[in-house]
Amino acid sequence: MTTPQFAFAVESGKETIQELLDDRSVAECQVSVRNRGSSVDALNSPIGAPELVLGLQTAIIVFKTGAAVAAFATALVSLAIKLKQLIDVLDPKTGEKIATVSQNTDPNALKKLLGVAE
Amino acid sequence: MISPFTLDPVGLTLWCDPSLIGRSIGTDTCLTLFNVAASGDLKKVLECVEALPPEAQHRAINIVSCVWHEKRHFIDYVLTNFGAFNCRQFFQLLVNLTPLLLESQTEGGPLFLPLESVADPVSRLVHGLPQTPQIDVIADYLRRVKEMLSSDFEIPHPNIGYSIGGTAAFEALGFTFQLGCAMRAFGLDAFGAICGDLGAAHYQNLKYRWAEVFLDRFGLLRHGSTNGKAYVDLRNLTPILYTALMCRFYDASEKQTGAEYQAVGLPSERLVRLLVELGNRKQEMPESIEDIWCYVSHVAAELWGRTPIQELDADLSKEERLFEKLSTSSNTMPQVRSFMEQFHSLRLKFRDILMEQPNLILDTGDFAEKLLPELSPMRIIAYPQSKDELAPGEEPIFRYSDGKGDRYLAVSPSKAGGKLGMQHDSDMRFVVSDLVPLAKLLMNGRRHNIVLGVELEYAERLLEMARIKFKVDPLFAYPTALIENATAFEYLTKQQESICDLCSESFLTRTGSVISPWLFRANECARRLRHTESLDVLFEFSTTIDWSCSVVCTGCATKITQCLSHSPA
Repeated sequence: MTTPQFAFAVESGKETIQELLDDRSVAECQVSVRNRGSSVDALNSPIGAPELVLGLQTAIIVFKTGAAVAAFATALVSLAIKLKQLIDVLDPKTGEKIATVSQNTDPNALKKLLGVAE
Repeated sequence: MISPFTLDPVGLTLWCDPSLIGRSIGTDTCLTLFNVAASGDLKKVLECVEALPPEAQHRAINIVSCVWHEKRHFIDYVLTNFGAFNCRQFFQLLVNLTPLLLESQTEGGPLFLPLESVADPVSRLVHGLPQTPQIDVIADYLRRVKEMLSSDFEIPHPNIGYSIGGTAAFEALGFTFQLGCAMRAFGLDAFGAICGDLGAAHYQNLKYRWAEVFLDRFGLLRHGSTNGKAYVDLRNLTPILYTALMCRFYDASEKQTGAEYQAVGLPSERLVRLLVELGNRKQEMPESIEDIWCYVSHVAAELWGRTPIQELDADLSKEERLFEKLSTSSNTMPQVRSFMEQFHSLRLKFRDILMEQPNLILDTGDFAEKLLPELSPMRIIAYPQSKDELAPGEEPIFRYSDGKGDRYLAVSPSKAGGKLGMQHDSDMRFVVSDLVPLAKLLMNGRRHNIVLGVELEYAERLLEMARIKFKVDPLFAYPTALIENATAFEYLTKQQESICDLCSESFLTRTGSVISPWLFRANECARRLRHTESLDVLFEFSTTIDWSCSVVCTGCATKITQCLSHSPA
């Protein structure tokens, strides 16, 4: 089985992931949404640090072309600006973080990191 | 950062890790408090706390109350339909373990973990995974269960800001009974002692107190005053949460729509429906907790056609049939069979108590006096830096052998089982030390927040010994928080100053960071950094068997963060 050339895992809050999945840039892609949290984590007692419940979601997205990845990079930056959220982009094949997209991220720098520099 | 006291919902074991909190009160004192609190003997606990110097007593009361919080999780997790549903996914996995491992090898392997990645078509494409019929069935089941549990955990509305699902209900119950038991043991001052030791940020944490806020929205929180002091009366809370947690799970033979399933199957949906209904009739709410339970049960029957006890009985019948089927499978190990039987039998005992003496489960005072001493989840004490000998009566759970001798990372302090718990015998220890870690690895790779990372390393070693080739999905390769600020470390240890574990410089603890023991195993750059910066001459040795966290200064934390980060400007 041939593995795809362009595949990314995008991690952020549920609202951000939902908006991303509604975006045209991923409309034609194969997508799955995962929750990386464990359903068998220990039940902690309230001693130590107050915990934040983050409810992150991870979308794994497979693109067919480099042009589609470039459009996706632009959409990610627009979304980070619109929702004022940080969005992590990871390589699902290695788990390494490729980028953390913020309001200040340069779309061209991001495209380069995603391997589709113009 | 993992709390020093936790209930493992897979093995149903009560864990204590005294390594950090022991620095504030002494490790031996911490262990004594843990063991005496776990016994549930309120008089002995009081004696133990009163024997301590006054400045240590608030911390001690907080410690014992946390143990009670975890013991409360034990009964709620076993008794309620929502908790038992969580447990049953683990049994399903263990029963299918042997055929599943065999198939992974005959189909050319390696076994891809977590199994739910196998059920995800996109992950399958990304990693080029082949079809594996038996694995696919169990993987699909685990994925559906996780989706269901995740949807229950979701924050229902941005204006609410906290989860109101089944897991959240466990935390609300845990905190309510923790305070109730402490006040029964130490008097009303215990409330101030616990809140003082926790600090405002934690005491007001909605993870534990959301249900009070939520009940108040519907006019169901009672207020009272005694001797001029106002207080909040939580007597409505437990009957309502218990009714929400007695949710209905359909089996494959029953047809239902998604909406029907959600309405009766998700604790969050049940809770909202119940609160709306009870809020409309709040004038009719009775006074005694027993009457409140009857009244809420009656309303539940109007809404969903069954009282909570009827929902429980229906769930127990289904569970009995499921366990009969699983037990007769030739693949089922005798230890798994025994664990399932004990689990089901314990549920039946709890069911009888809820039916005949509901106050023992629903009222904080009666629970503290009569039920708490009877609950006996197996205790496990973790030693992240390991220790070289067992104390009398201790049984090893996780050990490291290098040919010269054994070092122990986790031990069980007592063989004795209680009236309401599993047998603490060799079968149970086999489940806890071998099968539970294996199940965790299969269910979510290494991405768990567990007390001791060595659990998962053990599971991997078991697979290697069985010559099972496996590969962990890189998205599930390590726990979430590899580096955190040291606020919790400072709170637990009460050390305002610390020595950096890398550069050995002294620093203000709150300015530093805590590094997970996984980081030096997960990240080659951080590993090299530790090797060059650290004065630890036994570096390789300690990286292998030391599962304690490290505390580092700001400068070293920055270097480590650089190892982890590849962000664009």
